[in-house]
Amino acid sequence: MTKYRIEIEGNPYEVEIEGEGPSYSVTVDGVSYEVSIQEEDNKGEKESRSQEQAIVSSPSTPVSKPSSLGSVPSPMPGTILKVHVTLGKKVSAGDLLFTLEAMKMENRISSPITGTVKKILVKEGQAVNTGDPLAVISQG
Amino acid sequence: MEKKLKELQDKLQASRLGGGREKIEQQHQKGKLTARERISLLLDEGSFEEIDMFLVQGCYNLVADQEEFLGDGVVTGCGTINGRLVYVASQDFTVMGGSLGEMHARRIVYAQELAVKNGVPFIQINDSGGARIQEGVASLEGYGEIFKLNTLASGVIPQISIILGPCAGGAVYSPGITDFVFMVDTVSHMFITGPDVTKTVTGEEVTSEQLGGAAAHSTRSGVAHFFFRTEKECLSRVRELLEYLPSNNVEDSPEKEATDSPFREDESLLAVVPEDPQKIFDIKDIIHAVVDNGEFMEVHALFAGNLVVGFARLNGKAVGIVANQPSVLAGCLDIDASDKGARFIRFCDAFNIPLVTIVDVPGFLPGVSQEHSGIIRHGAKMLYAYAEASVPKISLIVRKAYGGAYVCMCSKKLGTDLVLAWPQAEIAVMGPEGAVNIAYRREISESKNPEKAREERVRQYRERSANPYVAARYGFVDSVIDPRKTRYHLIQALKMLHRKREDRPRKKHGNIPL
Repeated sequence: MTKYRIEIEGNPYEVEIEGEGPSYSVTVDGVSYEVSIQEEDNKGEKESRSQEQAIVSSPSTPVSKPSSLGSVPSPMPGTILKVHVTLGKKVSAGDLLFTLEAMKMENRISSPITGTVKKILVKEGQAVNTGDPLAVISQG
Repeated sequence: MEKKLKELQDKLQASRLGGGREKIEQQHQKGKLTARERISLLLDEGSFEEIDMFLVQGCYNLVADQEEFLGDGVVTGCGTINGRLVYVASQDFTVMGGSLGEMHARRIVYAQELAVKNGVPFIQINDSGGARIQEGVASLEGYGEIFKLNTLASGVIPQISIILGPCAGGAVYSPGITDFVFMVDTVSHMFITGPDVTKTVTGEEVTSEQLGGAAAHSTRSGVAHFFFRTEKECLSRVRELLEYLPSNNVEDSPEKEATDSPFREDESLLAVVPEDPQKIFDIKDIIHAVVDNGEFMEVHALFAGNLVVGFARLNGKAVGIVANQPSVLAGCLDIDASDKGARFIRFCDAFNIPLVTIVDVPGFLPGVSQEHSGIIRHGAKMLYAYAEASVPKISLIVRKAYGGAYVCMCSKKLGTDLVLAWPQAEIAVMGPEGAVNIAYRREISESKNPEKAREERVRQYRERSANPYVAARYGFVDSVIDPRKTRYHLIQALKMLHRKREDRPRKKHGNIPL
């Protein structure tokens, strides 16, 4: 993970970038986005613009259609009691990924989508906070 | 006379056609039903009586070459649902995009007024591009009047909004005030500012669906209470919801003859709560096992899943159920759950629906974001709503009832009329581990084997305090019951309270923390 502190029009932003292209998981001030880089077709047309154009999709945690890379955030502060999957494992939506101990309870963290475990970002015994990414599941 | 009748027939037909055959075809091609098709699916067959069919748009500000539309883009009237009268207003997207002009608003407002005068539910179907720009400020004030009537009718008659198309800008606040909002995947969209403005102002690129689709509002914002895949299913579930609701605030919900024995016992309830207090389970297993025929109409099913709320029946009588869900966020209360719970409790109280609370709560969700986003002010809504409610309040403690979160779930002294508990219930200020760490901190740290000393104290604490009998000794638990007979005991509790009256000092209104 690489962290940046950037300033746009005088406003400071904390940015964390994760992944090795063309898809990245980018967290800006605590909100994470799935970003993929596309080469522009007409390279000669606009030299002044960056040749790489970031296409920002929806924030990764919410809404209707999960993005192709599913970041799995921790729903609450706690400790990872058990990691139930290994890298590269195929999982279905709803499959158990982690047991998170929080509030003296063993909570199930399940996969939001069907796909392959691309990254496991926590170890057993590790303390996590709300929103911390625990794993990345890629679709398909 | 014949000529006059012909004119009447022509006008009636024109009004029924709305924006014309071509526009109706376009609406169908989008996979959407028309305003009138929706009404006929919602109401009992042939029961619809239309009013104000001859209103014409924009009498004051008519643009010279504007076409005249009878009815002005909304269909209003009354009809029955399962034989009970309701008033409806259904916006017609085929007429100028369903835009709201002065007469359009006047039609809706009149239906609202008649609903209140008759003491029957008001149901609106929203499918509109927003304020009609040509009519300017008159259309804006049309919204103002609708919102005012929504507010004055709140707590007097049930108000339901069905979003079946766009509902943008100020228009969203009418559904926002009403009691229940129904949305359909990919058909419904609600937002204050749409994707274009959002992009211009904040640079965020989102689609209508991502910003204000049914999924977004059912899972993230909590604006929508019900999420459906099709318009047809949505409309039929509105009919189902109404079966649980009285027509107004001085009536009781209609009773349904019970086909499920009140004495039915359920063996599965002995094993539903895991012996290990750290293990989670699905609270809905308990709900389904005790209510009539296992039928539970969940409200906000996809939002704040750590608290489950919804309607069911016990021996034919409608009840509102509020229950902690241990399998989501350990069943903790948080900001969203508090908002969801408080609003549901207040609805039930306003409409004389008894409350059944099922408790398994380990506490409030800890964290900076919860504290800084105001869990104090939001949690206070739950407390306030429960304490204020004068309907019969029954609670059932099935496992953990810890700390302030338990009080929030309506402890005895907050105002529950009858507290029932299963034998494994633990009512305490906090869980055994936390309590021991504080009460015996010194003893444990000075012990030769602190871990063992702690374990011993936890075991003792659990044995002595973590049971329902300590609270029962003080009268904070009224009855400890055999889990298998829960259904019977809940039905008996409802009978014991069915004549309950609780008078309060007169006031203009309280000041619920918002």
